[in-house]
Amino acid sequence: MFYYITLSVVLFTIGLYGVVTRRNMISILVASILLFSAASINFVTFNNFVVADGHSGELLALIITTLTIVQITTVVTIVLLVIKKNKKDENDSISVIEW
Amino acid sequence: MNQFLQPSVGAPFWIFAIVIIVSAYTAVAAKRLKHSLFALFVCLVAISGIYALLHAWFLVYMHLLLYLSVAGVMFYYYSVFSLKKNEQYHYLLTKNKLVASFISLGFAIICTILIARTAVWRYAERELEGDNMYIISNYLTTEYIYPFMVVTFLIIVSKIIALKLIGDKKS
Repeated sequence: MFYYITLSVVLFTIGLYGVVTRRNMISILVASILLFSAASINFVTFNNFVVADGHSGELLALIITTLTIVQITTVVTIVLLVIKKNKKDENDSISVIEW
Repeated sequence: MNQFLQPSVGAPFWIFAIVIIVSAYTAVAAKRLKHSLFALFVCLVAISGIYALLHAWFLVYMHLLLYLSVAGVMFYYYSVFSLKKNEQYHYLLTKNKLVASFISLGFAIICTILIARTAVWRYAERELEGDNMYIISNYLTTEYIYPFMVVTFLIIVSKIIALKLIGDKKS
């Protein structure tokens, strides 16, 4: 169990570093997905090693995963709207995000 | 001796852990967004491997299913937005319809297999016994039906609003 928790701590730290340092909205989204994934690993680990015959951890991890999808949809929509608005204002501003 | 230090038992865990850490750092530190998104996808697939080691098979299938669809959408946006201005209305996939058909067909087959494997409706009426997927499916349709419905509603609403906002010419 110690190894799984250590892995999730490392993942959480990398995600936190990304959220703090990056300025691009999609990069912050990517880093926040890592944060949520670290939390999900914790839930599943505790569910597997601590709770006897319980499945609440897995269900919570499932709900976190689906809420992450909602978050991705929302942020990608906002970014696309910003791109669309910039495209109307300027002729060639589709490179507002550096792909 | 600790089981994680034995190669036969701990090797899958260490492989997945190294892949997760390296790809997560790449996802955060990469300068180009396409590299970041690809690294994130690799990281999420490796996290599914960790779930498999923890015997959470339902989560493995759901994780792969959800993030495969997100990867498909991201690939579509990338193919659209990475083109030059004079190519904007001739999307990447339309150049080679055969390749596009194969990619779409493969994606549809993978999604169909995963959906059939995780089919909740199949288990709704049975008693609580069997493997992990069976039990989780039963919980989702009985005890956890309200959170399940709320999350489903949120996903559907967000998708509809996203499609409406992006497709609306006045917005």
